[in-house]
Formats: sequence, C-alpha cells, structure tokens
Amino acid sequence: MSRLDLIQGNEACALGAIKAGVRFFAGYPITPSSEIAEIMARELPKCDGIFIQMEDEMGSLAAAIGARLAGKKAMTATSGPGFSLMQEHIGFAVMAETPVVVVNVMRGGPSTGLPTMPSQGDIMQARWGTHGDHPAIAFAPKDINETFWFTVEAVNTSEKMRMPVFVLMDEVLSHMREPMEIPDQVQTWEAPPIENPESPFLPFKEGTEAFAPVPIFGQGYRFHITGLTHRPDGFPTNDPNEIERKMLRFIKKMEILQSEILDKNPDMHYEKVELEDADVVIVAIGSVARVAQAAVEDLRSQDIKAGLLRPKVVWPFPEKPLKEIDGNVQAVFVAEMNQGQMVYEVERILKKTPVHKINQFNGMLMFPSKIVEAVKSTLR
Amino acid sequence: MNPRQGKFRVVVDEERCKACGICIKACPKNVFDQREDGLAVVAREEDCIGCHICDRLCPDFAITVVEKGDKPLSDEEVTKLNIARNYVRSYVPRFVWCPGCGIGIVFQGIVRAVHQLGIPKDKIVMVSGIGCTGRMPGYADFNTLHTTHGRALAFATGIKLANPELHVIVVMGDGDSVAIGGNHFIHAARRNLDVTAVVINNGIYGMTGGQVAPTTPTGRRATTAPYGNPEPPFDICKLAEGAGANFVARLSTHQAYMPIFTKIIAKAIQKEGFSLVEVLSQCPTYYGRFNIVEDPYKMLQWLKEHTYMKGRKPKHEGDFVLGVLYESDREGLVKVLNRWREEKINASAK
Ligand SMILES: Cc1ncc(C[n+]2csc(CCOP(=O)(O)OP(=O)(O)O)c2C)c(N)n1
Repeated sequence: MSRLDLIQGNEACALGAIKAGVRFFAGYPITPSSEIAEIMARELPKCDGIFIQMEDEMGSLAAAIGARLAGKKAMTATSGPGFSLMQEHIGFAVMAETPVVVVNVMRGGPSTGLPTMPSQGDIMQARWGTHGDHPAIAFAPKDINETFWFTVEAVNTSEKMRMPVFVLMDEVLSHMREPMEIPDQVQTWEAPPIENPESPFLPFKEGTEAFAPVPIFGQGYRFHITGLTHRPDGFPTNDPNEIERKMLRFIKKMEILQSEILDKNPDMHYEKVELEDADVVIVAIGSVARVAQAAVEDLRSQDIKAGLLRPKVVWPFPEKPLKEIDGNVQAVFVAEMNQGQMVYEVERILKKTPVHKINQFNGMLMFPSKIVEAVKSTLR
Repeated sequence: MNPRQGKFRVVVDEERCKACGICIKACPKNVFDQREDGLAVVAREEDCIGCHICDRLCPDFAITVVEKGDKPLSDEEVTKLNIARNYVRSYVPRFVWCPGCGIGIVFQGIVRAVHQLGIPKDKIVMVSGIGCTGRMPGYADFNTLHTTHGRALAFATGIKLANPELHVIVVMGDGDSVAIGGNHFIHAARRNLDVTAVVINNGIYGMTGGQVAPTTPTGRRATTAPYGNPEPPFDICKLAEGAGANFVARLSTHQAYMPIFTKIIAKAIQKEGFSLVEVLSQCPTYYGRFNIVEDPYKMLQWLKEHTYMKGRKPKHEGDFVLGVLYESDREGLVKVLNRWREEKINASAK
C-alpha cells in the first residue's frame, strides 16, 4: 500500500534512495542537506543498511565507493563546501567506474557563503568540478515528488552507467514540504551477476561500459581497482593506445546513456511547457523552473506567447529540444539563481536565437515578476 | 662444519633481482657473489644453513631457499615453491620500487602472515593510498584497491562495514597515513574499525622525490627541508593508541627474517578492532642518501642500531622502541553496530 504524506525535500530524497536499494550511506553534516543524513541514520539500520557519519566529505564519498565495491548500493549527500571536498573522489568513482549517488543541495557560495539560502551556483561544478576529462550525469528535480523519483532514477542510472550520478537540489526544495504518494516499491536496476568470470578477469572489458556487471570484492574473481589510468584488466598503464581506450569508455558511456535511456524517454530528460506556439522560451531548472512556469502563465495572460523548457537531467544537457526551437522563436531567456552558468550551454547550442540571462544571486528565490519584467523589457 | 650445511637449495631469479646487494652482505655464510652488473648469484649453495635472512630481506621476492628433497629440483621448480611469490599477480614482471627499498620487504611479511593464518586470497581486500607504498595492492593477488592520497582508511571503512566477512588490510606510507590522511587515521582508530593498518614509515615522501614528511625527525634533510627539518615528528604508534586503536605495534624491516615479524603482522590481522603496525623502513634513494647512507644494507644496519625491543634500553637518544606497544580488547566497530541494531533498534520495534 502506498501512503500519502506531507514530506520534506530532503526526506523524499532519503526515502527514494532507500526504495531504490541504497543500503549504505556515509555523510558529514552540512546545511541544508543534513536531514538526508539524519533520516538515513534512522532508517537504514532498520533495513539491514549501514549509516556512518564520517570525519569529512572526502571520507564520506570514499566510504560510499568502498561500500559499493563490497556490494552495497551507496550514496552520500552534501552541500556547497562539502561538494567541493568531494570532487577528488567523484573523479575516482568515474575512473573506477563505480556506481554511487552524490546529492548536492545547492546553497549560496562561494566558500561558506549562505548556509541557509538557496542557489544554483554548482551547476558547472557538477559538470566540471573534478579534474580531468570526465562524463557527468546530474538530475535536477523541481518538487518533492520529483525529488523522490529522480533519486530513484539517479540510483538506477548510476548502476546502469557504472559511474557517479548527481542529484542537484537547492535549499528551497530541500526544506519545502509537499504532499506526495510514497509507493511501496519502485523499479530498480540490478547489475547482472558475474557468473563465469574469465581468467584473468577483466573488470573493464570492452562492452562493459554500461548495463554491465559491477565487479564486487570477495566473490572469487580477484581484481584491481585504481584511480590511475588502467587497462581492461584494471592495472595501470602508460601506453597511449591503452590510455585512449580507457578514456573512450567515458564517451561511450554517454553515448549509451543518450541512445538507450534519454532518447527513448525524453520525458525523463526534459519537460516542455507551452512550447508549441511560443515566441519566447524560458530555460530553467529546479525551483526556478516553478517560478518560470508561473511567469509563463502571467506572460500568456498578457498576450505574450511564452513557453518553458525545463531540463530534468541537466547533465548531459538536453540539446535536441533547444535545436528544435532555434530560429523559430524570438528569444530565449535563461533564468538561474547564479551569475550565469547554464546560459553558457544554451548559448553554445543555439545558433540563430538571441539568448538573454536572468540571474539572481542574493540568496532569495526569484519571483515570477522578475522573469516577466525581463521578458517584457526585452521585447519592448 | 654446521650440520645444516649442504641441505638447502638457493635460487636467485635474475629477472627480478635489482642488484641492491642486501642478500650478498647479509648472508652469514657468504653464499652469494656479486656479478659484474651487480646481480646476486649463488656461488656457494652448499654453505647455506637455511637461515632465510636473504629471502626475507629481499625486497623483490627474487630469492628462494628451500630444503633439498628426495629428488633434485631445477631452479624453476625451486622458485615455484616460493610461498611469497604465490601471492604476486602473474602479470607483474618486477616491482616498481627502487633497488633495496623496504616496501617489498614489508609486502613479503604481509603475504607470509596471511599464508600462516590460512586466510583465502578471496577473503582479503588490500587497500592503499598513493605513494610508493600505495603500489603494493597492484602486485598483490588479493581483492585490491589503490585509492587516493590519504584516503585509504575511508574507503576501507565502507568496504568493511558493507561486507564484514572480508579481511581488510590497509597499507599506507607515512605521509599518506598521518599527513594528508591523518584525520581518517585517528577516526578509524577511534571507531575501532576492524581493519589492519600497516604504515610503512620511511621518514620521507618517496614517490614525489624526497620531500619532508610529518615523520621526518627534527634536523633530518629532505628536498623541502634543505637546512634540516625544523619541525618535530609524529609518533605514529602513540597517535594510534591515543586515538583508540586496539592493537599497536612497531616493527623494523631489519627484523624481517625473524619469526616475530610475520607473527606480529599475523596477530594484527587476527585482532578485532583497529590494529596498527608501523614498520620502520629504509628509503635508500632519498632518506638514506640525504641523511644516513645510500647503501640499502647499511640502512638496515642503521635501523638495527637505532631500534630496541620493548623492555630493553635504547642506546641513543631518539632510538625507536619495537614490539607490541599497546593492546586492548575493546569491541570492534562491526560488533558494536550489530549489537546496537539488536539492542536499540530491533528490540524497540518489537
Ligand atoms: C591530493 C594529492 N596531493 C599530493 C599528491 C602527490 N603525492 C603522491 S605520493 C605523495 C607522498 C608520498 O609519501 P608517503 O605517503 O610517505 O609514501 P611513500 O611514497 O614514501 O611510500 C604525494 C605528496 C597526490 N597524489 N594527491
């Protein structure tokens, strides 16, 4: 029996993770994400899971990766400063092709910034935060229901893609309460077991970039995991051909994600609101997308044909719907709670349409009027 | 003549020998000669008394000493009987470590301890950070994880808690464990996490080229302490004890041929909770060359001269005490969490 409850964003995230099979959580308290850890501490021991509060965020993500390598689905959650500290191990999880979910409840920065106020200042950090070339996947829910379901999807996607996946929330979303129907069960994805391991065992054999078994310690096929660039057998290499072969796996992963998941479920990748006849299009994610939706209604009531394009998965960025409107609309507005990050991506993709920025970075959620005004003054 | 003489086969694997010269100088019976290129060759096998000083002190697992059996064995057959090599992955032609480095000696001690305990390879996870020491898991035929600099114990925390059946052995350099990884180190000890931490303390940063470490004694030189280290060093064992470890021991690589060496490592592996074994080790390339002597064997002699067993008296100021330095029987973290689950959670749910 599912139940209807009035729940908080952080709670939805934690419950979604547990439903999706997460049985290990390591974290370090930080506002505005702390409730995720608190709920995990309360709930995981009841379902044979492990919660541990680590000594810092580097340790938290490290422990989560270790747990996944030992066979438990794992997650950590943090905010701004903690997300910065996690960057080294995000890269490690990428290199080691280990599934793990990292939730970042965005708050104002830089540095300690605004512990209790929202921001979307980590969109680019989620894409480029760790050093070196790497793929990135980031879900951006806009409400409580989505926070639950996107966390489930983040767990499943990280398992399928054998890589870390982010859930980007913000302070508003994390502390807001909305009613939601919590299902008894959700659909999870379990990596296929390794039945007849070849000898030598190749944890990074060609064809195992995605939808592949995730090797686990202690199962009888001994293997090596390293953050050094490695060969299909997992051992480090300096051979240019082998290096390229490894690096191409990351590109391959994203191609598979695009063709096998996102192209087949565009609803999972983005949402289009009133785009069919739109003259102006607003691009926004997360709580700002809700504001933008109100702005669209307001603009329409004033006879301005506005629409909204909302990435639900912000990385990889939904290029297709943007390309479809390119040249067919008067202007695109990118509304963000930062000084302009996602706008770079929109500008990169659009070749014929003028792109305008709407930014707010004072720790307050944008009002619809700000978007309405910006659109109207540009059209004038 | 020693009654043991003439009973042993001694073989040096040319492919692995790095000509460090330790065996040649350490052999009490002068069994080896040095070839022109520096490699050790067995010249007087019949003089061998089977003391195992040479093979246990060989950082490259290049020497095998076995008792002669009924039928004569070829060199290859003798080498196959080397227990330590049985724990080295077949892809590994040679270790990356410099000639005479102590890390290989400790590696051998660890695999021999595992062998003595009879723990299946599949049940061991060896975890390391980054550094020369960090390269060990890549060679070990266990489940192995080479993590990031300083964070090995944090990864190990996840592994052990997710699957408590696995024996987790964490090998770290001194910079790895108590500089960048100092926080994880004290917290793993405080939690009494059920892992065995082996810290190979060479008093310097090996991998990056001889910079000062938090274990470099005051006054000793390093590339980033060109006038000598102005700072005092950590005592890693006291740090572990103070933080809450269940088992704390210090060894030195010069002891590697003594039974106590593997015995203490084995004890640490068996011990519930957090066990720490610090092994003082030679870095001839940097620490030795800058401060004492570049010759690996002379470094071992220096270690012998400047260490003493617990209960004895030091000869010089600053000498290191060896042996099991602290032991307690606090419940390990795995048991505590299980008990907590039973007592506080399941019980209250009933
Ligand atoms: C975050 C980070 N900082 C610095 C380094 C560079 N680095 C690699 S190994 C090392 C120190 C090695 O010294 P130690 O831990 O004592 O181990 P050893 O090499 O002597 O075995 C350093 C500083 C790194 N890999 N990662």
